[in-house]
Amino acid sequence: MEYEDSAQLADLLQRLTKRLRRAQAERLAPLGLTPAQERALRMITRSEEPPRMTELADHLGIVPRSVTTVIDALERAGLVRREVDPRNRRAIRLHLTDQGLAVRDGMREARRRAAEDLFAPLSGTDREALAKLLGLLDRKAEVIP
Amino acid sequence: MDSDTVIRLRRVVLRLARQLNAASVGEGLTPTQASVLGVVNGRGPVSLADLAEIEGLNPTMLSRVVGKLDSFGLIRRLRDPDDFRAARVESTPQGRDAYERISAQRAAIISECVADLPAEQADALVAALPALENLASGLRARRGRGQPAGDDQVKPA
Repeated sequence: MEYEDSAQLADLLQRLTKRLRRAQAERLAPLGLTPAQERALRMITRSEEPPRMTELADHLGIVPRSVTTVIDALERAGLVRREVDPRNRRAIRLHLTDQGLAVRDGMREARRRAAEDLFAPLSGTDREALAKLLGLLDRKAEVIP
Repeated sequence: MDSDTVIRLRRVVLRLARQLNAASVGEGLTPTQASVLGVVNGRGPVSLADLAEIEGLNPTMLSRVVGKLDSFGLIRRLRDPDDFRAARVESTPQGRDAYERISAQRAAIISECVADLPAEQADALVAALPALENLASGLRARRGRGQPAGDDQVKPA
């Protein structure tokens, strides 16, 4: 592959990502969450055990005071619940409520639909071939059987 | 539509883009700052309103990014004394140099990944560039619109 091709591919990947993020933002807008609330919900969803506020602050790269604002809003909306950690009474852990779980599913669906919109111009065969090709490029990717 | 393939595509594009972000970190910029610098660089003087639209950033976030790039000496603000909202920005020579280094670094990251591939698959990637270009530009595939099929199709790996 020539240098120009590598440069073009790098540029295309960045532009595709930007389109994808914009499409996701549009699809996520009806959920009525701020970007910070979305990130917080996603992190709570992904973490292996319910995270502590300090872990959330670290992960999001914001000061604990700002996390408090975000979590207060999510708690008021009924999506997140603060619970005392039974193993350490001084620690508060963040749990998703049933409504929070439903919103999480909505977020997943929004991201999936944004991706479907983006890749819709390609035929199924082309999408499959492209996923495979780009997967080869991603050396840190987990091996897909 | 095959959701599973679409989800894999989404994931791999985001992962590759994240690996490319290393190039901006090398210049001491966040990925968002590097992206804004790239647009300012590519478009010449550009209004903040257009920039917000292109980057999909809200005005508050954008003005923070622009302020940073300005303080690094990579872009400068061109104020229209008659109309505050018409504020535009352009890149400085240092900004152009920095962005060139970021682009070269990104290309190097891709080259390094491609170097590990057999020639056949590297060729298939080159052949897929027009299809990717169409996706990135938001164009529909040309297939089925009287154009000969093939040149923007993705060859199997």
